[in-house]
Amino acid sequence: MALVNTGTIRLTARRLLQLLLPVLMPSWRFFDSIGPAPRIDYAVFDEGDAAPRQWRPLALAPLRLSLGSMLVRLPYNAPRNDMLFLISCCERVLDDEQALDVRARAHTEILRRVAMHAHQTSAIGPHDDATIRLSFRIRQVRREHNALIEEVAYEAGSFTQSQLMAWDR
Amino acid sequence: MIDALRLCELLLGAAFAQQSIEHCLGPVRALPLFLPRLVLSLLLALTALLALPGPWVVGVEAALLLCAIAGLFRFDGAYNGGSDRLGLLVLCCVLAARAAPSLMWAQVALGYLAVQLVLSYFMAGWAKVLNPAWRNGRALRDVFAFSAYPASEQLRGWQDWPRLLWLVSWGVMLLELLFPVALCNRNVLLAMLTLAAIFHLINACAFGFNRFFWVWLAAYPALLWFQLWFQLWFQLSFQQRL
Repeated sequence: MALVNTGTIRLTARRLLQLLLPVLMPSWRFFDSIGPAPRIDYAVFDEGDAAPRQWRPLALAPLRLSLGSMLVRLPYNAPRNDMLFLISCCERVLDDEQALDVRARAHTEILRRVAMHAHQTSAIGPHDDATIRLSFRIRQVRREHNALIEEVAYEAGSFTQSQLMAWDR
Repeated sequence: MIDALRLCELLLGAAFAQQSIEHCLGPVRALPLFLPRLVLSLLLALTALLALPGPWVVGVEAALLLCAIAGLFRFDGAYNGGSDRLGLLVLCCVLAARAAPSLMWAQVALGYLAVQLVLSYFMAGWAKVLNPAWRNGRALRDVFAFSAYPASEQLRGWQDWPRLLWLVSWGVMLLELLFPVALCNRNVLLAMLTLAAIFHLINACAFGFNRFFWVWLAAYPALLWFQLWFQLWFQLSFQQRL
């Protein structure tokens, strides 16, 4: 028991250092290069479907914003900031060098928002939890010479909301 | 120095409160973590405003640091990238300045924040100017063409203005690279800080980076204090050489 505790403490301390060092000694290399940009799509599977019928984009930016709307978002822009967090999550899911638990947590963060979005847009109803399955994929858009290339970089397995609740715990 | 420290704390309290409100009311609510942080942020702003004694402020800042560390574990790093990192750095520096055993160490802590603020602009400019895509304007066109950052689809139309984007790219890189020059003169610093604040405001409007605007403002008082000290040191060492 004592060994487990020492191990846990050591791991936590190491993780704390990993998280705090970039804060205390930041690199400040904002936008030094423009890499592939992730987009998330999600799909609803009906009972018995092997493949999704339609992929829908998650968290699209609005078509247009007036200057007034932009300024109103200066003190409160939570949906947009959550979308920026999702971009980080996509990068973690796609990054093979990330620790497995970090990638798994990023995966769950995306799933949670997919389920929320599916409910809000009525893609699934409140009583569909057990039968309806959801999935998401990450598309990447990048420049190759003068053309923009789009490809699916990751496709998650399907899940029900009861599974998501279990992972959250 | 104490005025700069209090002003940093006041603005940081406001910036943290803004972030906490977003977490409390946003799409994925995290009340157990961010409601206490909201209360502590408001307390920090209040203690700075009322100039309450040091131990009170240290207590509030230490509690805010614990909240920030819990946030780092919760999100596997900074939730909002650079803005959260600078916010935490400002917090660590003002806490270190408050808890420092002597005035000299307090100055070192606030000076470190000022140097990091200068580096935040200079290093960003340096990283960009080394990249040919930034020098020929392609990088900024790509930001509008396909990155996930434009706040609306209409803004993607900016990719069709390559000459303008080339000018903007060089404007941004020059502002960032020349930022350290501002340490030599008070008026130049005031002009640079105004330009930098406008730059953050434009980023907030065009890309939705609203948190960067508030947090960077919170670090400005440290630089305003540091510049006076730096200018004095610079003049003295220059006179000694003569």
